[in-house]
Amino acid sequence: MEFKYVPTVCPFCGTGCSFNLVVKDGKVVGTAPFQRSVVCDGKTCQKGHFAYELVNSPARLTTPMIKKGDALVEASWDDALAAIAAKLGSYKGNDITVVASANSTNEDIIALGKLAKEVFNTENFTSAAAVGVDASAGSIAGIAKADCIVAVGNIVESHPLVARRIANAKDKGAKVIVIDNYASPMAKMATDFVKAAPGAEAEAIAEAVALVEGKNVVVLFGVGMTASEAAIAKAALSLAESKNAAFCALPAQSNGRGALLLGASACFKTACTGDSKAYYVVGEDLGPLNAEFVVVQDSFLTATAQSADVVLPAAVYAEVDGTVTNAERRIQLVRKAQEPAEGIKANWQIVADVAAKLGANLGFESAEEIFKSVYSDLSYEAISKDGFVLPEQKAEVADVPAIAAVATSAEFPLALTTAATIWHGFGGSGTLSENCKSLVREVPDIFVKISKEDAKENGILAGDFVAVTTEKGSLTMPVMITKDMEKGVILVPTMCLGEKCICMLTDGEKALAAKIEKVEA
Amino acid sequence: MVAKGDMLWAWAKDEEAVKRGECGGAVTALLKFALESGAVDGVLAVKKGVDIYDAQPILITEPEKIAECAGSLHCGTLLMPKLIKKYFNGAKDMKIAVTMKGCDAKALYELAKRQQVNLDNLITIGLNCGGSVSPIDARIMIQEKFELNPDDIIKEEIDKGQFIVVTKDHEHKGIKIDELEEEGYGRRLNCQRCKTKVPRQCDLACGNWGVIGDKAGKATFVEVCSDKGADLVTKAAGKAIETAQPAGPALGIRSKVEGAMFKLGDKCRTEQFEKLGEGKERLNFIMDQTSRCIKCYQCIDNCPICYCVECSTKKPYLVESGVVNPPFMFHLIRYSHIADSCVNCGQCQELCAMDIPNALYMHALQLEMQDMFGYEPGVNLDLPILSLVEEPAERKRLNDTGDDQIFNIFTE
Repeated sequence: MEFKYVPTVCPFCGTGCSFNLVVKDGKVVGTAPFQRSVVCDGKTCQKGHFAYELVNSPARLTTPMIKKGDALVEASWDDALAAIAAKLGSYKGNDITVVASANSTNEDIIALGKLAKEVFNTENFTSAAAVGVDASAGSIAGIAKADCIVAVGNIVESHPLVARRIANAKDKGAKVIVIDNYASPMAKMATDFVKAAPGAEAEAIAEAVALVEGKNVVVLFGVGMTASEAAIAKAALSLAESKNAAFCALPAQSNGRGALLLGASACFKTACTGDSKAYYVVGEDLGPLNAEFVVVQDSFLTATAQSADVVLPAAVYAEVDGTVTNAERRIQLVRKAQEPAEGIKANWQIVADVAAKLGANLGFESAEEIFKSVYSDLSYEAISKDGFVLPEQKAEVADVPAIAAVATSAEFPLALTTAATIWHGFGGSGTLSENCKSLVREVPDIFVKISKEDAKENGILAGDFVAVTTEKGSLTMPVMITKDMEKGVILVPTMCLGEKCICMLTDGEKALAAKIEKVEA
Repeated sequence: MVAKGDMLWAWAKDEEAVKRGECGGAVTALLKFALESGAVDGVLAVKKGVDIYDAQPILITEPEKIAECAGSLHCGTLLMPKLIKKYFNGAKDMKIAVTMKGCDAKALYELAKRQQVNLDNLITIGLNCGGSVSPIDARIMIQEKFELNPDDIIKEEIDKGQFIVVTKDHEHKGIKIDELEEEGYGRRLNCQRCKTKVPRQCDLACGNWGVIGDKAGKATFVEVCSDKGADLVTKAAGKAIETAQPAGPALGIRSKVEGAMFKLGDKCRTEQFEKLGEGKERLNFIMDQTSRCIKCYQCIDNCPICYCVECSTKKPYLVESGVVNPPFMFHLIRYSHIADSCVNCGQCQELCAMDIPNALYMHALQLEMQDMFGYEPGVNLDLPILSLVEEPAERKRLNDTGDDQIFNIFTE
């Protein structure tokens, strides 16, 4: 019997916690703490704890598929690559949008970037991390030494092991100023809580400036993927600059920072809603795409994959060597713990095969070669213990229109806000979490948090289902009645699970006017 | 012929084991012998991972690979018995020799009482343990207190009340543990409170306390704690290990070292428990601390006492699913299910994503229950308090009387 631990980096959020994958007879069977991790000391949140469950999920894709009529039909790699080459060769430049996964490795992103820029000649190279916020100062461990922390949003659920450092700082006497829409777990940790009406986050941040004091101030913001991210980040950055504080915008994805650094940074929203004729999507779930030709590389049959013309089965984090770059710019090793099933390849390998079929040689044979093509001074050996921290760069936040508090109406009397949940990711991260059965057991459906007052007024009891409706759409979901919400404000987590996605309700907005109606389950 | 209760000095015959192992390499030699002689199918021990601060469990099935686990790692904070349960089917279909610290040994006993591991298939080699240091804390301590680069350290040890490091230039530097711990460095908090320094629950208890004279550093003190242990040593003697009777005041020195560790443990308990307060104050403290919980389930999955297939914390009528922070009921369930048998292994605190002092609280509860009911977990195979009541009989009593006081042993 073979039994070993393989240290790796969590595939979910941008904190970059590590854990050991427990490997028994060549198969990943569990996670175990990696106490040597300089980021998390062996601790993880539930997503990290259960991240092994997706590795051998029965839903894994193992065979390429080609669309025949309305259905995807299993195909050989040769046929799938030929189908891609035959079609993609006919599109030029920006007709093709290439979407990288900000949850995949730097190596995957570098290879895909070469395919986009050198083979397709397109500037539309993007990732879900490209929401116009690029800021990373300070270190995660350093947060514990701050004497004043400004936390924008519910970092306890978006980046739990960063929130741990905030708790450490608070225990040492630091002031913790929290700006959030409701009495979230982050708000409960605050020494000073500034409640923001949904949509009025920037105003609340400006209001919080007066509360900031201390010599070592850290400003933290967990980036989501809504249209408001840049506006909120701008306010947070301005607060940080006025107080000489370090500002770190924590990417939602495990390699969000890497994706931005490696150029997968064309505006995500524009790229995905633009008029591209063809899409090449790696490990991201954009919902069904209605384009002339769509290629998807993924480990699971996402909504995007279902709408694709060709689907290629890709390895998951536990099946590849590579690196990811966390929120504090630390490049860390992801290690292969098990061989992928026959027919499954690493994302970068698939990219190289596609390029070869199109007559281009991307010029690398191994993940480390790709890594060295960008980080020539580093090696996997050199970063195997503590990783390597890249230097800070000047924060960049896109110019976007200002945001304002949600205007409710007679038809939509409630202010809906959205925020990360600790149980599930969205987009590509959501694909990963919905394949971890323990996370699904705990939270099997998208849900809405409502106040006791609103529940009473609408005759809603715990366990009831409601239709939440905005001008963008409607979704039916169970309620979570909580004293943490105030009357008139409801919260739906940014998650996608099964057929339901937050985007069906918000279409990318962070906050909207909404109504709820009780429905029979 | 060696018998249960014997104490001896032992060292490896094999030069390689002497070189790579600690204190004459007796443990390495015994493990190798157990494998070679077919007494076990595998050896579950600890090896160096990415560096000396990373302890990884390893299953060795080929005797020639035994060197991989030779040597000690004080930054290893693994708990072996739960691994045996989780990944080796509780040793129910495989014979395993395994190395254990005191907390491992106690955890193993508690799992055995709950029929989660088969002791008959295990040979347990206990290792004296003065405490372990979490890897990142150790690195910070070496940087800040020893003023050395943690990457330059090739060896660390705890000896004569000091934490000692050896640099790659073979320089030794030691600082008193008392001094380190007063400043918040040093051993894990649960290790500071621990009083199981020589794990006599194991078949053999091995270490360097009580090895003196010209054998100091060159032999291991072996206390034979069971017939199974006696059998292994008897068979290995002359083949894999050499033995000698402890000479001079060895036994006295050994018990003096252990006594000093007990005293230190008592001191740490007093200091740490004082911070918890008493009664309502203590309850408020723990309610405040646990209010940060994010429900990552690490405390449950790594607890050696948690073994239920159907965990009460996952029943929505007790703890509403998906709610973060979870209600205090989540923690109450853990305390009520575990506290009587808590072995103070520290995993629930070390792995807590929000640094909640779970083990401190649980250990305090355990000691109070021990005073009340006389049950001391992990020291022998006596059954815990909860097993004093037969479930069907108790359910019938509750039904018949309408009483809601489960396990009402106060009135019997």
